[in-house]
Amino acid sequence: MKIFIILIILFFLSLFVVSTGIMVGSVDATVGDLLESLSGKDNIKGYIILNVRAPRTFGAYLGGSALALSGLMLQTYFRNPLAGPYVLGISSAASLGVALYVLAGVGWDYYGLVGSAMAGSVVAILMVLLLASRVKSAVTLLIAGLMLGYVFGAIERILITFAESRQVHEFVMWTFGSFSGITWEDLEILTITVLLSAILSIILAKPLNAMLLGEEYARSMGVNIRVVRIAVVTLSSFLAALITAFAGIVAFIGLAVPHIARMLFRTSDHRILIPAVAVCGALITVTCDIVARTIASPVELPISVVTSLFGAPIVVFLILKRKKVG
Amino acid sequence: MRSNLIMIVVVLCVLALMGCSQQEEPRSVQTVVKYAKNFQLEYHDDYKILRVKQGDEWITYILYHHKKPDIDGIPVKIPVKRIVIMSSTHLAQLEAINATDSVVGFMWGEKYNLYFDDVKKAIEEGKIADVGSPSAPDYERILALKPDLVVIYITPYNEEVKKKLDELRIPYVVNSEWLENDPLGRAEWVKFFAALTDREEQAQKYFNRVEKNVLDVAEKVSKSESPKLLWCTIYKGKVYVPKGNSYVAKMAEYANANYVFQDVDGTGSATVTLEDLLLRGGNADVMVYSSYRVKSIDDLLRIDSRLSEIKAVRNGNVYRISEDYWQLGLLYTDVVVKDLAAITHPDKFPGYEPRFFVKLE
Repeated sequence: MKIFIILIILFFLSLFVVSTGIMVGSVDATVGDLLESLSGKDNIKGYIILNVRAPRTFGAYLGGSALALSGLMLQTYFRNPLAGPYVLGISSAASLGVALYVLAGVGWDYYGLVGSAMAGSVVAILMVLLLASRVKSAVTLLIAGLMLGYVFGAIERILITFAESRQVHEFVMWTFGSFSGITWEDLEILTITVLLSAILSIILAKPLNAMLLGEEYARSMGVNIRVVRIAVVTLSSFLAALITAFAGIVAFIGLAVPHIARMLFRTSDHRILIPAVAVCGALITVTCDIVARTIASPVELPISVVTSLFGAPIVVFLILKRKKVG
Repeated sequence: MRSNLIMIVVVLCVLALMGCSQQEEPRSVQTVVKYAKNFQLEYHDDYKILRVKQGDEWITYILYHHKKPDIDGIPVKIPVKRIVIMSSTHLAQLEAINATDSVVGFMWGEKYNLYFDDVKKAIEEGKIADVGSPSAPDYERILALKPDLVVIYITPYNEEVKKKLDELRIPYVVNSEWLENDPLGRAEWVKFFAALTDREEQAQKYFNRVEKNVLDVAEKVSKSESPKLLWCTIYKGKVYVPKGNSYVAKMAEYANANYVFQDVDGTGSATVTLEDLLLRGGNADVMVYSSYRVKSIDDLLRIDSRLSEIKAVRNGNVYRISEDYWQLGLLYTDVVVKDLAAITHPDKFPGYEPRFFVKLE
């Protein structure tokens, strides 16, 4: 019961942060400006809120929950607290895709960037799945995934070495990540896919609970290890790939939010953790996005800087606090 | 005793006089650095002192002809005849004083187009060796070229090049021209290459021309109203704009244009939020998109559809930089400034076609 109250409080808190995110920024805009813009009048302030700030805030909301969910599933599946959305080489593959696109001078269209990151990730997911269907244990898959990441990273560095410095700069900026480029059209895709993935992950809650005690135990409970493995890998990698394609690499969220949620809710039951992680991820990411774009305004900080700088102390604090209680 | 003392006094006087007469003897060409902030030149009778700013410190080079004078500094025997350069911007400066024939190696790596036809030809003919990319040059080839001097620039990304050159004892000088935030300061770096190649006269001629042209343009538009200028690139919703003390901001000043991010402190570029771009740049009269990969306004809107809110975009007053902007644009700084003045004050330059800015269709 208490857990549900916390969950509901967090959910409303996240809604509050979203509305703050929409109202706070470089432009001091009023509800009046927003209404004027909604009614089709030419008002640049309203336009900014409606078409720049709102989509990025919602994008951060969905992106944060997706990354956190992805991290949670992988941490549980690999039974490794250091696992995160990028552990299977998704980020390296996405940036390799972008590197090929940008550094080879093909272009830098928004959808070209999104598409190339997605294409890179899909290749990585397929390779990981091929491995996943062959290897026996989770640890082997984890190591193989890490190695894949190194290979992608190496190819990317070769490209960087031989690229023009201006293009390298553009590319490096991509890796910093930001929700700034997200538009309403992107949000349609993101909403549908993230919601669908969240529902699928809830179906996986029970097998994931069994996985906590190890693959052997889960098998004895009647869990089809191979199906769960494929499902977890596909779903978590897909979520990571999707967000990376639209927002670049966002550090910390996927790794740390599951820990925060576990400590906050004092449970490892995935039926609770899945919604909890989604809400916490969204809440933290939206907050970080607001900080990133307002703290040094008009200059915008990369979101990973904020997520790491503000998030890491929170995790350390929670760990220390738990030690005191225990 | 007394006669000895007199002798000493006399000798000292003579020495002092000689010293004076040496110092007073004027050189045929005296170049002084007026605009550039990152290098200094001092001319002495048979040597020159070159100081280059690198980070927070000044590196002193002693450029000498025959005998190295006994002063502190890194000695460089001039005129240098075999130079390896790191950047196409160095080519622009050497081109300005007709000294590209002293280039024997170029850290190019074939990664971009070259717009200096003579250099391109020289590379094809093997007179200039391509010694790899600036971040990872081929040191063996550089060694094999036996250069008198390697000219490098140092950024946080390529510091190991400097270390490697130190280790291999290849003589090099640092060129910080890319840090200059005044177009005239940047153009003035020809004097750096002139000092190394003994081509002061050409450098002076080139620089005087550029300076006069830039100041003439500035004078011509100074009385007009300054239109709002937006200069940026956008990359996945992240907007890169030159900062308020940058090269571009200074260029806008010469062209009497009101650059909208003038108040962002510092040099180089900054990432600003898309909302700030729209808020401040929404009523910009002219927009320059500082990349040549965008060919039309449709291309621009494919990068971010929300740019359609900018006045300059709606009115079709958007320019991109030309493909050769980063190379020939540095050689013809005066033309670039004139172009910028012409696109922001079209009434003052009737019929003028900008050379380094291309209007988007």
